[in-house]
Amino acid sequence: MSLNVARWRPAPLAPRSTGMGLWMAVLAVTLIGAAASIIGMAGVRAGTAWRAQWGESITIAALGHGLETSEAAAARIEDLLGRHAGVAGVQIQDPTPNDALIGGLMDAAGQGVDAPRFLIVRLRPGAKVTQADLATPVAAQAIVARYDDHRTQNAPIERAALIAAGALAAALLAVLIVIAALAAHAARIGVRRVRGRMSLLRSLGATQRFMAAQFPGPVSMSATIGGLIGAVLAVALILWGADRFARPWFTALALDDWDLLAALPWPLIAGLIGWVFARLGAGGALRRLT
Amino acid sequence: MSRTPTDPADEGASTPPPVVRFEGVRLGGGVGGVKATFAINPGGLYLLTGPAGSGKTEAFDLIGLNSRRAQGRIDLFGQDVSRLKTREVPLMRRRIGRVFQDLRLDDDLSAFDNVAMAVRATGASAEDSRHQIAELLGWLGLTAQMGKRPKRLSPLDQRRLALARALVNRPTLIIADEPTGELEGKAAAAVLGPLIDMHHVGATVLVASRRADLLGDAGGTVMSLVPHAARDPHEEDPA
Repeated sequence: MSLNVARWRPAPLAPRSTGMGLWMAVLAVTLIGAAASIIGMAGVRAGTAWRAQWGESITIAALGHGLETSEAAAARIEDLLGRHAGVAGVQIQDPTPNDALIGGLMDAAGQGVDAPRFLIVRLRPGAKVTQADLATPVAAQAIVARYDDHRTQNAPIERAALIAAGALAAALLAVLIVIAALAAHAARIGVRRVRGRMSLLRSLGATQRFMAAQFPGPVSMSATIGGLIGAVLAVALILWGADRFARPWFTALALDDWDLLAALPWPLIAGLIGWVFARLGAGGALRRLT
Repeated sequence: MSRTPTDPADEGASTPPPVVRFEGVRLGGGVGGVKATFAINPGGLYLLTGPAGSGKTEAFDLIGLNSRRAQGRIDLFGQDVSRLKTREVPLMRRRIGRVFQDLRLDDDLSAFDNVAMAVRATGASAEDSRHQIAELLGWLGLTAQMGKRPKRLSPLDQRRLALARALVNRPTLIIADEPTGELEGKAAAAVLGPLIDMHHVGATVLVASRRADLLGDAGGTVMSLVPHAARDPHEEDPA
């Protein structure tokens, strides 16, 4: 069999099987890594949003009492607390469709009780205002209201966010370690499969650097493919799973489209780690070759 | 032409250093081992002969830096190999073209890629050298076999291919361990011819064989690896 020299390309010196099958393992761990990244991104965003939006505020539910409707009670509270030194602003919330529905049903049933109206009281940053400081003047005006001081949730939410971030970082580190170990192992197996060729290359004057450089390419390629499929599956899983299961339970963790971008770097990360650790694994295996 | 190994002390100061110098290097192991002292001078044609187990391949392993556990002193291109730094070893190996006794052809690669591997091992681009590789294979009569795997080649072509791989980087020193194998007559001459041609264009050629008459009329220096013959005549018998 003759050969067209003009079209000849050098054959790979690493065995063709190098890294083959690695993509499936990388897919599995990248799926976990990418899914954890998306959830982590959503979690961090939700935590930050909570602190920014609700961290320094109190929700007051104004209730109707006697002849006074909840709307009138809310207006009086707005007027009363708007002048308080520690309050930055008071805002009456528009009734949600559910509130309107409940109110309408109660009216139709002749209950004579309207749905509560909610107010958000924003406190001045650093103001030492307690819930009692607001409740006392309101009660003095014979207004019935219930209070939810959001600041009481700050510490538990921050603690939970810290624990979640730590657990997430540990999970991501574990995923990276697994990909690194898989890549190094694939390269070591590749070297073992062509021991004779490596030994010959050494006799022909090849440096260890040259020989080790034959293995990262196929390993990295396989890891990148696995990472790509894993990331796409993670996005699909999160979108499908979040809608089906998570959303009713974790409304605060509502996904944003941007959160899905957290899966984007995973194919690159898998490929890069695959390259580096395949190089190290091959180098180690070559050093042990006699 | 036959002679005993050269005594390093006989080398004149003006002559270039030997390409290979063995000084009291123990070869052959066991009771029958010898302490070899000889020198291979630049541009020479040498035949290292001796019975099986006399240490010919061991000597080639030492020259090719495949083994560096030697008693005695070995100089390559004027440098004591025991003093070579790790990074210098590959560079030294590239100056030597070796035909292995067992050929060590890679059956997973084509004949062309087997030769290209030697080019790539030096860090050079085999794609840039493809025409030189094809020319070399053509010179050795392997043009029609370039795309074949070595196991599909005839024994003669396998030996020619191993020779092509040894020659492709234009080495200063060519060492060929039993290059003709079991080949006889014209087939053996077809393998030896290119080696002798390389000697004529200035390369140093060292051939190892059990057959002391292998080089025939080509001349060259025959060195016998047998006790007393391979030993420096000035050295006292260790016994």
